[in-house]
Amino acid sequence: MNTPHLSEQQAQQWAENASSADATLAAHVWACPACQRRVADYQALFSALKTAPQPAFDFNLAARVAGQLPGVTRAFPWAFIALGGLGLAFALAVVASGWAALRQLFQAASAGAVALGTVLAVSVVLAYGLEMLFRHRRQTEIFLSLPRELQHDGAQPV
Amino acid sequence: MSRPSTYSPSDQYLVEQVLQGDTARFGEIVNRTKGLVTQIVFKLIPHPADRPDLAQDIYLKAFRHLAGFRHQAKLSTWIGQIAYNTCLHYLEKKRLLLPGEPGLEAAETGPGAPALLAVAPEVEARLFGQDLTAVLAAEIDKLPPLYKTLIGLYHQQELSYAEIAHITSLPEGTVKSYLFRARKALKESIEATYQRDEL
Ligand SMILES: [Zn+2]
Repeated sequence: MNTPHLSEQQAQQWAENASSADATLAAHVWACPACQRRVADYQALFSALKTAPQPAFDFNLAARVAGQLPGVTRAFPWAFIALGGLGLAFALAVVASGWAALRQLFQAASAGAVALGTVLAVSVVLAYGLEMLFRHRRQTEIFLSLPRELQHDGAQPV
Repeated sequence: MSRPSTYSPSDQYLVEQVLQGDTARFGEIVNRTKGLVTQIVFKLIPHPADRPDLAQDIYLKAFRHLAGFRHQAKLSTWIGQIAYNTCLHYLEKKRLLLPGEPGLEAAETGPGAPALLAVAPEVEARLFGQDLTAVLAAEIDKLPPLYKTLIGLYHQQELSYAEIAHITSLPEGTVKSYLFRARKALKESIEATYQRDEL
């Protein structure tokens, strides 16, 4: 056996992909227990690395990030409160101005047109509110629901 | 980690949805890429207390710059690059620079070095016959941060040399060379630990 032992680099390459080695090297390794052992050690190391536990945070990273995104969890309650406040202010204004003003309004325009306008306005406000509510629910669900595999993420930090 | 076999939208679709205002979809992007980001943060950042904030910063940066993602690289590689650069910036700020660390060059023998068997064969044979997983985490932790990261990205995240080169902005040849040194250093460190325990 006149050819030299595998270098560290050759041993690593061989451990990863034996078919990449040339014929001279192959002839040496088949006849050399020391080189076979060195390749086997690297193969054992690579295999252990592959199956070693991966590092993981002990909290839900997606939920934590979600709490910081602009316009998601933080902005929504304020928008909702503002909308509710506006609605309340409008209702109070109607009550305060009394039925007399409302009657005047109905007298000024045809009753049919006012009724239609009121129905349209209420529908738009309702639709907008519902859309925001569903959107918020969906966002919360996506962010807070952990994929099942995450529950087994208890890997120790490497 | 295998995902459930339900419908899984493409990265491109998710990015478009987020850009159109469906911010909730960003959570899916986080869940898809957090393995890689966590790997980079844990391996590069020595202080565990700083890791959660850094991971969060990485994703907030990705969110802010999402419109600049061009789908030329994989989304995970793009976010991995942000993670790596954010960690480098942190290390620079804390004066914990990656290159030139003591011990980094010392571990090198070089590809052209004579093929000496540094450890007696009978010792070596005994070492790797045992269950490596028990000692592996501690031994990886002894490596310089860049070596740990490269080992994590290549052997645990199973990224290609090209993907690692993209994330770290290192030439592919340099990635290969560092990875060679990292694996050699890890193997020698394991051998040294076993030998010390035997004495
Ligand atoms: Zn040999």
